[in-house]
Amino acid sequence: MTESDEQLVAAWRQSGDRGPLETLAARHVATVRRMVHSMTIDDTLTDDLVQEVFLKAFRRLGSFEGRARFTTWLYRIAMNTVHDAVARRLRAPIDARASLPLDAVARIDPPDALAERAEFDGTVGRALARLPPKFRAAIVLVAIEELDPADAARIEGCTRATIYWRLHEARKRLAASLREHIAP
Amino acid sequence: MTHDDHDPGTSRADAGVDATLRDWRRRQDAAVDADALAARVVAAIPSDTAVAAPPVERPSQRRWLERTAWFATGIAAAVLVSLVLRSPTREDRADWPPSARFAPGQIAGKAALVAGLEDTFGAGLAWVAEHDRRVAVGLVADAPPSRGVALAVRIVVLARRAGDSVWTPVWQSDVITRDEQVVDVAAGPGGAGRLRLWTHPLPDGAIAVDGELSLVAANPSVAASYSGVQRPGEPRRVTGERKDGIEWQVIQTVVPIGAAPAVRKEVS
Repeated sequence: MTESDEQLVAAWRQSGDRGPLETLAARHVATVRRMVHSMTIDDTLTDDLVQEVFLKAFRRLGSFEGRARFTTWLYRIAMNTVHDAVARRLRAPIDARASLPLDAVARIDPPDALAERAEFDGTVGRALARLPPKFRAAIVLVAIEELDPADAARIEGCTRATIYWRLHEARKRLAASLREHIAP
Repeated sequence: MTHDDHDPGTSRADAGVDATLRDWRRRQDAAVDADALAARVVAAIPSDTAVAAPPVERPSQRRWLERTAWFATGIAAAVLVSLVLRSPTREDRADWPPSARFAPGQIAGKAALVAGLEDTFGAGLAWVAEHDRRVAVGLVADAPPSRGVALAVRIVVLARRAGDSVWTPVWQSDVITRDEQVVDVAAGPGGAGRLRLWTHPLPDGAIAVDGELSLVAANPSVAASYSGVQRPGEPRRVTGERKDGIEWQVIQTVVPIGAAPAVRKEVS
């Protein structure tokens, strides 16, 4: 039977063994990476931040009390880490190029479709990167990761109404930026 | 995504944006090697000596901690009660000046103002804000098919010296906006500050309001972000602070004016 995240944390508390930590990392690394990349639109920075997120989480695991789900707690660390990193990089604009996906598409699409897709992906990345970080966080958590807005509010440390407000404004701005690409 | 009383719901346009983002996200993930990244994270664990060891408690230490915790809880409760009794966050509604709420007839006046502006700007008029002896209007290029409920919002900043009993109004804004419209307008001396506001009427008649207010060049300077639900027509203290011997608080009143004839008018 698969152990829950909270059971893995309890197992680590009892044994001090690294095994549960490795399982938690393997289980959540893809989601955390997706979240972080949607916020940074930068492949290299993303992988460094993902590592930072897990190390922070494991350092603080002793203080995890189980009042929230482990994932909510972990995603909050992830988003705080991203917000800190984005604040540090404010002077250097986010590079909205998406190099890895282009390599993936190249294997299956003809050149014209590839160019079109690359242009579209770049447009979406730039539109996301132009959003203020708090708006971007709301759209990433609720629209892309499909989290419950109440969980998104816990992760962002704000009220649910604030998440709705940010989500509403983010969608409005994205709709304006992506007008040509979104079917009516 | 769950839908509850506070969820404005997603429109077809919103769903189009969300679907576009999720398509984009899927393509971004196609070439990512999550296993390699997991291995990198795991490999970093032993080299990071600061990873916390599981907390181990000795029984005697636990008993001492429990006794200390109960003692600390008692002290904290006593302090909390005294703070609540003396706190500036307490709603001393009787101390608020009459201008904290809309006077009879003022809502009709606001509706008339909107009607006049709609004659000029048509359905593109999104919001109107009156403060600092100026009237600011927000316009949208594409007026939505349904414009939602119109709401009048009064925001009053009150201040007093610590220990004084009288609150003095130091800044006021009257905003007319609509359901889910984002108001974003310069505020305060020299327009150096900002007021942002988002409102959403709930099915039970209450109104959810999110606000951000910064009055940077004002005395006292105000920086506040707040959100909450309030009953229509009832002034509510939404935020406040005591700092450097000065107390300030923000009182907010929201009144639906959807029934006013001027606001029903859609196109001039």
